[in-house]
Amino acid sequence: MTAPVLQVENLGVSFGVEPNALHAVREVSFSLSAGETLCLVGESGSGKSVTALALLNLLPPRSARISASRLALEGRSLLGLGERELSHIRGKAISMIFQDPMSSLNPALTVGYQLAEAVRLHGPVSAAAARRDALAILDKVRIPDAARRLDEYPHQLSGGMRQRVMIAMALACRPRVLIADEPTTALDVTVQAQILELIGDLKADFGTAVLFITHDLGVVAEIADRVAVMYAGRIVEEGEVSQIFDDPAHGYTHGLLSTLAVANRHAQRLPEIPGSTPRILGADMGCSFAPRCAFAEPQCRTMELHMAEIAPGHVTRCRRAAIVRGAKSEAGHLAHG
Amino acid sequence: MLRYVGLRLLSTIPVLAFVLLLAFFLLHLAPGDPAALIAGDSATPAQVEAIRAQLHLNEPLSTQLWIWLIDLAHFDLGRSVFSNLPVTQLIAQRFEPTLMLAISTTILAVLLAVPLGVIAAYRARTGIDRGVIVLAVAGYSVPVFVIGYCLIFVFAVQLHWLPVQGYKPLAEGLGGTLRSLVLPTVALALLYVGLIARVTRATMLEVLDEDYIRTARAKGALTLRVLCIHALKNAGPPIVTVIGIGFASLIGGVVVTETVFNIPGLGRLTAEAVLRRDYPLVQGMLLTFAVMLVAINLVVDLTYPLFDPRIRY
Ligand SMILES: Nc1ncnc2c1ncn2[C@@H]1O[C@H](COP(=O)(O)OP(=O)(O)O)[C@@H](O)[C@H]1O
Ligand SMILES: [Mg+2]
Repeated sequence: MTAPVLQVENLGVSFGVEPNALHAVREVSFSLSAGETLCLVGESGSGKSVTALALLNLLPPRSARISASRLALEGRSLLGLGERELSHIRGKAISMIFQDPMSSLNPALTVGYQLAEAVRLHGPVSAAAARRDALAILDKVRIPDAARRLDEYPHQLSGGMRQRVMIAMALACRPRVLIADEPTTALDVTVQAQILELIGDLKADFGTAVLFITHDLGVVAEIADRVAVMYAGRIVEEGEVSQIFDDPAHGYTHGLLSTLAVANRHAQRLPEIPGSTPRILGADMGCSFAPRCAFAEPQCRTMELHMAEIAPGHVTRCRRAAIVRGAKSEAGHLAHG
Repeated sequence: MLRYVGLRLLSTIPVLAFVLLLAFFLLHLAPGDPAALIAGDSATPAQVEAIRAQLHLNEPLSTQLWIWLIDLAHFDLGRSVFSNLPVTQLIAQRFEPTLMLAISTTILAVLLAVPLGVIAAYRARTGIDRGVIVLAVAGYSVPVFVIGYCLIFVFAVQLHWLPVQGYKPLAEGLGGTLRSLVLPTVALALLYVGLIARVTRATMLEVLDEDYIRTARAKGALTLRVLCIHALKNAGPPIVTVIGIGFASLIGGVVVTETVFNIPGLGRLTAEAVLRRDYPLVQGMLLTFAVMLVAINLVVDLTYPLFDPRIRY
């Protein structure tokens, strides 16, 4: 086991001021090793994007409050770094790709400028050299006719191409960590597969650790080494991809996998677990998922919860883990197979 | 590009035609006999008849329009009823001071307003932001003549740094022109700083919320680069538009400023023409402003693709 590249302990993010603060992320801990892909899954609104943005302090500074007991890149703490110091890490050691390649590229600047900028921001590189680098990266993300693309604007590219450009930009400085926030959600299925393959290849090339955010369990099954399941701002279960799919140990994970099984059977869009994600205001007791959980008992709503290790590398916050694990879900096999 | 300019010019034809007709009928829409109106109360019948002949008022309307248009095509807008000088000559004389003042005011206003607006947007809802807004509101709340007389008193009368009043034409040297423009420019710019800064702030606020701004920050770009390169370029069109509107209204006449600083510009010429019922001159001014407005609009439109490549020529 290599030393973790990225270590996060007890990350919390809240918006607004008490007593009406919205606790979007709470007690989130995970670590990433070189070359590893950790998938962060959960419904929309569960705090995945906020977690990702908090790592690079990219949340709106006046409304978001970020706290953590540890946030370290290759052993060096990122907590308390100023904007200038952080700017040396952003895009160089830790890069990000966002969901919507349409809106994430600057419409007023050429593809070549935006790519070269990614290079030049992190080293004294001449304009000509940066352009050569930009061209090389575009080739690497398999954009045909790359030289011509350099002088084009984002609106002249297709969605898939734009996401390739985003990936090229993110990988320009060979980052240690790549954070991909639903990078394929806005793309159609064939393009999605190509982009996933591309990320996989580049990860192998560069040994980059990937934090991959998605709500698509099919994607998870394809690319994840480990999976962290998020619900209402907390990681409720984390484990190897096989542990999560074959042996879910949280009511929420079980629910997610069952909906996937139903979706597969009826070949339709992912149905949702009945109910909706709660907005967490202030401290709360018990399991946030209990009101929607098929396994919940009254104590679930009141008892304090802790992460418990149920197998090596497999942790859950569910006090009914044993019962959940007993109720064998067929979903995992479907998704995995 | 040429095609775009051509199309844009074509699309202004209806507007110009309308203004042309309006200018022509200006004389006939006024109640009563135009010739008597122009000649004034104390005129003799012979004088009225002379004016009537000079303006071809005895011809049928269609003939009058035809003659007027033919003259117009030769840049002949008739003669001022008051001074009997050609209208085109009068306007040409007054054009330079107004144009120079409009240019210097716009430059100063933009240099102050755009950075202020950007800072206000970046520091939105903080003390800095509120300070800028208060400054902006104050800028266009205080009448120009108050600021103007204060400036004259301090910098011209007390300190003798700058001329009190008047305009030195370019022909007598750029230095003198610039010196004569300093005080009116400052007085007028304060008015436009508020306008431009507010639009800059509002547009930047929107742009700063965009995903690509987050992308730029995630790449490691620092604030100044994010604001000036990634955000400002996208905020360009509305800012250029408001600058264009400001410039047009500066050309259209800043009577008060021209009066306070005794600048012989278009604003005062217009006021005089209207007060003296110098209809040929009013017609000429109307056409001049219409053409200027069309030209400014065209220039503004032509800048859009520089900021947003999705807009094509
Ligand atoms: N800038 C913000 N200000 C206030 N609330 C926010 C902000 N960004 C996200 N949130 C809230 O935080 C919660 C988590 O959002 P997010 O992390 O985007 O969810 P997702 O898991 O879909 O990525 C949501 O309730 C969202 O409304
Ligand atoms: Mg999200």
